[in-house]
Amino acid sequence: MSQKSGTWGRRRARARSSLFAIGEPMLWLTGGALALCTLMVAGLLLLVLVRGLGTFWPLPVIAVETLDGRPYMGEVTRDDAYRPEESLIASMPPAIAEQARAQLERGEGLVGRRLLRTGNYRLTQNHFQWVSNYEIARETFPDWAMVLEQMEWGRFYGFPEAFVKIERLETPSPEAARALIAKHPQGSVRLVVGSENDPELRPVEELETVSGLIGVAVLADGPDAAWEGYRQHHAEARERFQKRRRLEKDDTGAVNHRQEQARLAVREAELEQTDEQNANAELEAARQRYEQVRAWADGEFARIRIEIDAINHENSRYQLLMSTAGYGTIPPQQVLVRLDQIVRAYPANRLSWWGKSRLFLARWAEFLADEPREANSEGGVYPAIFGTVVMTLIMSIAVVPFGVLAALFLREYAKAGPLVSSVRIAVNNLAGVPSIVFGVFGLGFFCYVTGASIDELFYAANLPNPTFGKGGLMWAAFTLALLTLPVVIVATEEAVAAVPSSMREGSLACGASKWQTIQRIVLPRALPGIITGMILAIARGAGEVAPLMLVGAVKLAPELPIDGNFPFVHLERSFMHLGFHIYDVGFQSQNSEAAKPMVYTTTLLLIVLIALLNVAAIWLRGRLRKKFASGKF
Amino acid sequence: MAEPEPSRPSFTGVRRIRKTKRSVFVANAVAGTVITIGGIATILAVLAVAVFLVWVVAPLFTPASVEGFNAVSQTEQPELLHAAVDEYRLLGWVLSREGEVEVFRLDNGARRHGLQLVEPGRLVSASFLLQSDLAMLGLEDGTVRFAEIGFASEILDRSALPQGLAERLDELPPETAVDYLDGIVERTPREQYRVQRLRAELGAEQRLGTGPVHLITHVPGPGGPIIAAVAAQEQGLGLWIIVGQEKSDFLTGRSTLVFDQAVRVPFDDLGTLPSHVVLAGTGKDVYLAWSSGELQRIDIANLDAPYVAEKGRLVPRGTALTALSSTLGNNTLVWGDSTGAVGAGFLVRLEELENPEATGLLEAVRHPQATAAFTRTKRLGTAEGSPVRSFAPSARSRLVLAGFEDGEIRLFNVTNAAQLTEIAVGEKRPVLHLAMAPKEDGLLAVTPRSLHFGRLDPKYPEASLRAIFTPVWYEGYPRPEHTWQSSSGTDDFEIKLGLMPLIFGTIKATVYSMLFGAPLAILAAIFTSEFLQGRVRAVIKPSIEFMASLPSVVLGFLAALVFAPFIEEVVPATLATFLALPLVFLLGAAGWQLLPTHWAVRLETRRFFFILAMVPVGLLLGAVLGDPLERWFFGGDLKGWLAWEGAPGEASPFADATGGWLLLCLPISGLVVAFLSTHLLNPLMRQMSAQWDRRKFALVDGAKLALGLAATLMLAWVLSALLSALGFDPRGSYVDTFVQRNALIVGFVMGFAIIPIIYTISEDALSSVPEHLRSASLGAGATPWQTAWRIVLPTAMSGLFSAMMIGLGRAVGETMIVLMAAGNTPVMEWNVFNGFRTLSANIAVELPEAVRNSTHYRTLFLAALALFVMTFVVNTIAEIIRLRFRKRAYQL
Repeated sequence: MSQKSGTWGRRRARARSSLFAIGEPMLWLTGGALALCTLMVAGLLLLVLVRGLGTFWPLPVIAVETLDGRPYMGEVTRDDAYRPEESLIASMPPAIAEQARAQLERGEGLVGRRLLRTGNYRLTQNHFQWVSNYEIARETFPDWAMVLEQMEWGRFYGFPEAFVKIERLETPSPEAARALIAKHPQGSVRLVVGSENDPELRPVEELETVSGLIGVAVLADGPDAAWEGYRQHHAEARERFQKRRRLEKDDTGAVNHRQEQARLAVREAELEQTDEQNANAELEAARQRYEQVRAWADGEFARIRIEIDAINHENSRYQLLMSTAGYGTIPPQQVLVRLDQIVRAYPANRLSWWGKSRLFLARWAEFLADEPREANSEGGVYPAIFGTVVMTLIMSIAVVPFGVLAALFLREYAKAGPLVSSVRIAVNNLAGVPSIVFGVFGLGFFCYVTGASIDELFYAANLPNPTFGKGGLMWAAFTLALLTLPVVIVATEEAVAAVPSSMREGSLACGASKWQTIQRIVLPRALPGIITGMILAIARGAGEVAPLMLVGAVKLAPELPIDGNFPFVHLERSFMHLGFHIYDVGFQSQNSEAAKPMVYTTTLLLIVLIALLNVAAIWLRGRLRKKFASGKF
Repeated sequence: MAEPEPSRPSFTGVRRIRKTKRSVFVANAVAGTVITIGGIATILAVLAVAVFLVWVVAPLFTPASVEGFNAVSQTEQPELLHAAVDEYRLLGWVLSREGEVEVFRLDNGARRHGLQLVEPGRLVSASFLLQSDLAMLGLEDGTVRFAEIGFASEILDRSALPQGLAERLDELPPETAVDYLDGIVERTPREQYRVQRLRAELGAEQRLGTGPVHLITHVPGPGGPIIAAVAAQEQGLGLWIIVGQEKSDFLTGRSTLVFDQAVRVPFDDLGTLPSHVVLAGTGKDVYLAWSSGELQRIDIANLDAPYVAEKGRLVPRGTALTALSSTLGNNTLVWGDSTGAVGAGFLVRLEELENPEATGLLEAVRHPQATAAFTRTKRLGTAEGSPVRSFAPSARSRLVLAGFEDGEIRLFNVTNAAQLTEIAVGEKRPVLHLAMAPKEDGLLAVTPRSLHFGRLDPKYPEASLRAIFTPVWYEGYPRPEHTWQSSSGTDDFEIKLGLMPLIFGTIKATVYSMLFGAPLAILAAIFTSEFLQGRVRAVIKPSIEFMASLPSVVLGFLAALVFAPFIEEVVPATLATFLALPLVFLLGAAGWQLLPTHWAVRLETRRFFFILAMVPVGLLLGAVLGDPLERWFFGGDLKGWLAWEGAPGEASPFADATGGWLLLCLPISGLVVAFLSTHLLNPLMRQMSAQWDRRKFALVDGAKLALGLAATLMLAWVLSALLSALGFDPRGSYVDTFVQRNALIVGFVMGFAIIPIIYTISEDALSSVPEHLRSASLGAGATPWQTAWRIVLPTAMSGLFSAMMIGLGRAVGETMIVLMAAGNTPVMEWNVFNGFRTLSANIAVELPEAVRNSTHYRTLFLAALALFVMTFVVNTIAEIIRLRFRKRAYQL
């Protein structure tokens, strides 16, 4: 320990003590074990930190042209070296094979390759593409390479050709179109054919021959103009889009909710009616009410539909004309992208450091505050954060009072004896029982027994669809409360036991009752320990995933557990959870390569959350300890 | 507490209220009650977890029951060909040899309808399916004919019922039948009126021979039914295989069955009429059995070239075969003989079967082309002397009812050869026909003079302690095995509920992670508590402890998506690193000893940083050594070496097993050499080294280390060469084919998960060894290492043990890491490069899909209970040891 002797040199040797006694090799082995543990911890945290933080940093866009004339453009997500099969090289065109052999020789049998995120899924049916170094003829970082993060179909990599503003014709006829065309400078106008949601551009010359003419498009040609147009109109388009989403989700949801309530009221009245043959006045009233609500809802739906259509109509006017990278025999493809379908766009290779930082922060903001897109592989994790926090809150509300009660009972009220100490050992050991066992209990007892009974008593109208008889927020919180109860009991017990009995005796001697002693002497001094226990329980609860898989965490919850519909807090709903999100996105995602960065970021978020809780526990313990330190006798 | 006393003048003259306020008493009493009740309730609630698990699991082991088994009719019964029960257990029908289908109520036996299907005297044989109404009739003139016999149910509106009937039904409890037309009507619990009537139709026919069709059977095939029939013709008997085809009429949309192809297949005519014909599977084999006990299997997979694949006896000579039937899926045959013995068997691939003589047919003769052997795998029940007369297989599982000559009826589960229940019809009447209701909830027995019906509840037939914990011979398997396979795409799948592979997986995960985590954690704890500087310790200890609260889903994700693909690329280097790391620490120690004393003393407080610096050196060394290791010992390709499956003598770079043994032997030989050197060499050298100076000692010690390494290598090589020369190969046991998600990864990452908990508890145990013990030891001249090794460690031993037990408990129940990184295949092998499936991961995967209260659901609860018990026992042992240790530490 600290009294390590440093004088075991020559003098000791003379005293016929062996150098073997120092045990240097063993010392190094034990030290090595600690060094390994430390480095593993540090390495793991560093890995998560680096990968998690790096996810949202915009990468440059590289355009690669291969020797056999295929163009690829995208971000480099990974690069490594591999050993190509000889048969593969033999089957390649001579030019590539030659380069491959040369590189193989240099790389001692290994050649490099890169995984490009090429996006453009709608055109190529591919999100990613491996490109081996020997295939490459030329690579550049095109100045105007743009990255579009879209609402659907992942990312788009291409060049901005023009900003397109569509002017619709009320009555599509060549004459009306001609009149419109005349208003704009020549060359900047195209015809628009097809449907509003899937328009197509045609040159003006085809005016007489085209069919399905719907309007005229005015183009602001050139990347600069396109970018400028995008910057001007994107914010408005997105705003309208958000409004439309609110209409679709919140407003429609509220109407649906009322209609459903009315329907359930009818069903309830029907159920009651079987008992008493004659009292069907109530049922009639419920039915009438339902008819009223339905008529009202139909009106509301129509109104919302009209509003949505108007927004959609306006938004479909603003489009970005993009072209993909073309090379050799493969010509560039032109694609129209609606502005409101673009989450954000940026010319990756033109970004300054400041621009990159802003993009980075914007992506973080979206991650923290928005809903997931693209099967959870893009967008945010707001619902998961929300679910985790609400679930943990309910859990701690449930666990702390009962944990403290049990601990007080064990320490202050129960007569010490073999029974109490065996109960104590049992409770202690429950902390070590696997969480999945609690999950099994939660599913079997809470969902299938308690929940099913609640459904039969109060939600019979909704049967056979379960309300509480399935996994949900409340059951998940209760399951985790049960799981963390031993932690709280043990921590509280230790804190209560640590209050010196002299203080208790002093209080009692002064004439205080037992409860007064507990309330005014014991509990305040045990508070730091209790709060530490609570925070540790929360930290454990927030990171637990296995039981949640059984009692209500889902990959995508359509509604948050708290919303504007009565009764506002919906404890029976399924919810999203950060830990489960990691499992789900990492393992159940179709586009797992694209989802992996999201997993890192979510992991980082979860670790930070739990680290904060732990640090809070330590800090609070220290503070409260200091506060009550003077109270020692 | 202040007692209210009679007031008297106080010393100061000021009168104070001495009476305690009422509210204080009330609050005290209320608080006491609330805390006591709340506390007890909370503790009970927590403990209720175990009780609830037991409550769910317990029904698994309740025996099957038959209720209300009564004679519903006591009249003389005509000679029958078949009896059946409807889905709702209200009606039954029988087909008599006179060609009449008779429908009767199951509650009172009243006849509801009779239908002459074929003219009297024409019907000879009939065959029925378990899951469809399609029947085959064999007629006296050599024709076979399709028929559909079954119940048609129809939901009627209240208004469609005749006057007064609905009211009558409303007065009766639901599910009570009332006669209606030629069937019955009942009110269902969902307030509907369901009518059940017989539907019997005849279909297409085909002529086979000239004589009667003695035996007929059919199974559903890929395009239509496949039929086997034995019919008499001019010269003896003929066996025909007929393929039916479903033709759909474009106009009506209805499909009709027609005969497509009839082939006569050969069989070995014994001169007597066979007693049974059975088609197996989807019509790949046909079995012919004689009541003398002979059985022939004719392979008809290729209808152009059928052949007799096997012949032999099902029952020993001297006993007669009295009943034969196939079970659901038509793969398993059950038979009964004149001694009352019931057996079951199925086809097993001949090349996998270990002992065809012992389990195959008696006196078996096989065709040279035969690839499979009919294997008698099970004995159900005991031979009690009364011949078996009838069988009734279930339409949903491997249950079968057997009826005996003396009136006994027994219910067997074929899969685990268990007798579930037995019941008797009384008066020793032979049970000629049996029928099980489609939902396994009713049984109909026919004796010559009575009809009996009872409500059957098989409970959870697939689960029994034997089925769950011992090897079971499943259909098609070459031997009894522990298997977990709880679901499959097909209806006639045999559920396999052996928990042993999952328990094995749990143990495998625990062992490998403890192997990695426990030594690291305990050694690290020793260094932290005994040799680490206070300031460094204040940083390192909490940071390792923080890892304890790292969510395991994070570790699982990293294990599966980061480490597993990475390690797959660098397996040899990983293995080399395991060897290189201890090596560099030892080399570091040797180098440290070479330092001059004044340097060593000065740097001693920073020794840990030097040790830290050795880690990258070790990693580098491992990376460098990986390639040569692979080249020297594994023929240049470790994964190829692992996957190689050839004979030991074969000429292949992978044939040599030395390399694998070497890796396995190295740690052991390292330990042996270390042991020898401390117990033999060190005492010798201690004498000599007393006079040496530091430099000389360091040099000699370095030489000793080099020698020790060489000795270790030599020993390992000699051992492995010996083992390899003797023909042993490690492949197939601890190392085998490499799979990306494997026990190595799980061991590593789960080791990582348990390190913090073991480390923390061990460190606490070591630190709580009283300081005076250390002081005394150091004062007596012991070095810090001697103090740590001989004084602190033994004192804290029980604490360390308890730390390991708690770590073990955590490893047993860890879910997310194994779920994500272990591959989840329920295999039972120790191969460190293969995955496994643990109890916990299995629960997480399957419980959300399990049907509530099904056998599968309850078995998963049993798995949870097993986990609970395992961890609870381990933790209790740890806790008791810890308490004892604490008591001892106080006494010191």
